[in-house]
Amino acid sequence: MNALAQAWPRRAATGRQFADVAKDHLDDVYRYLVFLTADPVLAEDLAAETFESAFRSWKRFDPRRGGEKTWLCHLARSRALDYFRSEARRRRRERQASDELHVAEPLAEGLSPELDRALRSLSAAEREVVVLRVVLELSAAEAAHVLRIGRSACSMRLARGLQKLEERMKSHVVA
Amino acid sequence: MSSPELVLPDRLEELLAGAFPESEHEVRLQGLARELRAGTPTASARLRARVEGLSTAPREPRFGSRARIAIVLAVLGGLLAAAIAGGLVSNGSVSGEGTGTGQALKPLVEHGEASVPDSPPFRRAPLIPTGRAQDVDMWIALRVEDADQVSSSSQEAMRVTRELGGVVLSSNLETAGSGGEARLALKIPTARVEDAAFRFSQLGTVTSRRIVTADLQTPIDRTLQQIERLRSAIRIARARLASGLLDAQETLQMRIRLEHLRTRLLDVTRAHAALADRAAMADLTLSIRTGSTPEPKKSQGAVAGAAGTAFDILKGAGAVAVFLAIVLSPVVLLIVLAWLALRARGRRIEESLLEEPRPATPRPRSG
Repeated sequence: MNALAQAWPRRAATGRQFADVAKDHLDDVYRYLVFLTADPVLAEDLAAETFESAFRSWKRFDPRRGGEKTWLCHLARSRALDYFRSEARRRRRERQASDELHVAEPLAEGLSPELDRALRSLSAAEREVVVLRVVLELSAAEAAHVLRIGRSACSMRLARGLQKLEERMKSHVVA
Repeated sequence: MSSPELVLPDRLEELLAGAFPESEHEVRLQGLARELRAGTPTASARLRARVEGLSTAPREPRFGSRARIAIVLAVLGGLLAAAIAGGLVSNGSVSGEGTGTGQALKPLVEHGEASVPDSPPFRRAPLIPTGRAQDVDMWIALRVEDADQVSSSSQEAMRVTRELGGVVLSSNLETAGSGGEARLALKIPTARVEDAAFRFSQLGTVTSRRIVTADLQTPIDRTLQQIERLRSAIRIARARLASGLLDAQETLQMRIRLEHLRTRLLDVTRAHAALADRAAMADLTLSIRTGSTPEPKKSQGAVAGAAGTAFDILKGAGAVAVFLAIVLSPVVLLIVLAWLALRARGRRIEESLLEEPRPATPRPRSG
C-alpha cells in the first residue's frame, strides 16, 4: 500500500480505505457521468470533482444506507445536476439555448456509431437509468435510490429508455 | 417501420439477470445490453492520476459522532446527578431532624402574604415574618408510640403553653387500648410561636403541619389613623364649645356631634384592641395520636426524595413540551409544507434539466 493510501481517511464501519474505494469505482463513476452528460470531457471533470467531494465526506459514509458505488453515483449525480443548473442559468443569460449543440467525441471507444448517436438522442434522464441498470449493473433498488424515485418507476423508466434506444438505433440504421 | 413493443419491467429484470430470450426482440435487447457493457468508457490515466493525487487533508468534523454521543451522555448524566443531588439534599433536611415518617409531608400553607413552606425543622428558618403584625394560625400533628405518650405529651404541651405565656383554650383526650388521640386548642404569644412549634416537635414525630398567616399591620395602621382623626375632631369640638361664641342652637348641635365623635372613638379603639390581641396571640392546634407505621430508613427516604424530584422535573419538562407543541405546531406545519413545496419544485427542476439534450456547449479539456 502506498503512502498516499495510508494518508487517506479510513472509516471504521467499512474497514476500507478511501484509496481502495476510489480505485474500485473510478471507472463506474466515470461511465455513469459519461452517459449522463454525453460529454466525456465534462464527465472527466465531474468525476474528479465527485471524488474530491467523496474524499472530504468519506467519514460520513454510512454503508447501512447503501453501497459505495451507490453513494458515489449519488454524489456524481449531485455534481452533474449542479453543473446543469449553472449551465442553464448561463444559457438563459446568454440566450443561446439550442444553437450550441455540440458533439465533442464518441462516448466510448467500443460503441458503434449507431449506438453512440442513439444514446446521445436520449435525454439525460433516460441515459442515466440505462447506465445505472445495464452498464453499472446496480439493482433496481440501488438505482432507484440514486435517482430518488420509486423502484417501479425506475423499472418503467428503464424499459422505456431501452425501447427508445432500440427505436433510435433502427431509425439511424434505416437512415 | 414498426416500433419495438415495450418489454414489461419484470421480464426486463429477468433478461438483465441473464434469462434465456424467448423472442427476437428479447434477443435484440440482450444484444444491446451486451454492447453497452462492452463498449463502456474507462477513466483515462489522467483522471486516475488526478483522483489518486487528492492530497488535501480531509477536514475533520468538529465533533465526531462519538464525541457528540459523549457530550449528550455527559449532559444527561449531569442533569440526572443534579436531580438526584437535589432530591437527597431536600430530603436530608427532613430525615436529618428525625421527622421522616411513612406518611409523606405535604405543603399545606394555604395563604398569607408572609407564610413559609411547611418543612421541618422549625428553627432553621423563621416561620412568621417579623416586623409586621400577623394573624397566625398553626396546626401541628404528632405521632407517638402509645396511649401513655399521648397523655404525657399532652400534659407537657399544656405546660409548655403556659410557660410561654399562652393559654389552653380546649383539650380533648381519647384513649382505647394502646392507641389514643389528643387534640389541644392553644393560644400562644405570636412572638413565641416558633419556640412553641419547636418544643412541640420534640414531643413526638411530626407527621404534618400547616401554617396560615394573614397580615394585620394594614388594618391596625388604619384604625390608629382613625383614632387620631377622631381625637383631633373631639379637641376641636371642645374648643368651640368652650369659646362661648356659639348661640344656643349651635351649642346644642356641637354637643350632639361631640357625643357622636366619642362613640365612634370608642368603637374604633375597641376594634384596634381586638386587632392587637389577634396579632399578639397565635392560634395553635396540636394533634397527638398513636401510629404503628414504621419509620423508614433515611436511605429509602433519600431515594424516594430523589425519585420525587426527578418526577417533578419530568412533569415540568412535559408541561413545557406540551406548551411548545401547541404554540409551535402551526409554525412547524408551515415549515414542513414549505419544505415539501421546495422539494417538489427541486424535483421538477431536476427532471427538466435531465430532459434537456446534452451536451449544450463544448468544454475544453482541462489540465
